[in-house]
Amino acid sequence: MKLLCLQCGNYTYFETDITTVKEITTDPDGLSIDNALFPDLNYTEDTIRDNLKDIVDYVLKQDDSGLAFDPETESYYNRHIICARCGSGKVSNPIPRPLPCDLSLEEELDKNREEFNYLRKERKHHENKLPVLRQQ
Amino acid sequence: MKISCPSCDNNKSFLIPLWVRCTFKFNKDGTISILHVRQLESLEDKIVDQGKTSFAITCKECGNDAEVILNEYEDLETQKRQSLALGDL
Repeated sequence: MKLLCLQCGNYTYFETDITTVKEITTDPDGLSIDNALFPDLNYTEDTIRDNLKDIVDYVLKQDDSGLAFDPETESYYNRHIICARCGSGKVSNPIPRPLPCDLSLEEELDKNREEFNYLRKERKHHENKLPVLRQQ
Repeated sequence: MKISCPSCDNNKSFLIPLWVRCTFKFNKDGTISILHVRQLESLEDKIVDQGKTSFAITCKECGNDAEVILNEYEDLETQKRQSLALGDL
């Protein structure tokens, strides 16, 4: 899962606006518009694929600064990618981020000490069970 | 309407940038597939607005900005009208 719509839970289908390039050909009958073709490449298709890859990579690498605040709905939305199922802009990278906390760091550490100790014990438990190479 | 390149005299092929809405999906292997591409702008309006926006029509041969003449016979008609007016005098 790379992106998640917080409105409908979709994590597969998305939409984004990108630029591409078309070719205008003039002839005596008028103008015709088609894909821009060069001898070794289809420029229109390549720009669509490259620009889509760029915008997706950019959004995936961004942190919270990629989200903009909408005062009307009092929620954050993605400025670049929207959900293709429900049209919502509440599309985010589904990596949990640290929430703002009223506690000081020391209080937070104390609060989570038991959980951390359990995690450490769990790790030691697995460490002790690592396969050991037999000596010949 | 006539489109031409003032730099290289090309009057056949030009490139125009265009905004499109692209619908895509993430595949299970992490790759992206494009499902649909929808044009968001009117090409006619963009051609007519050439020179007014920063998204210019460029020459396919040399890459310089192209020149769009909406009514290429405008000067000719003006000259005709002026000569007729002079004739009346």
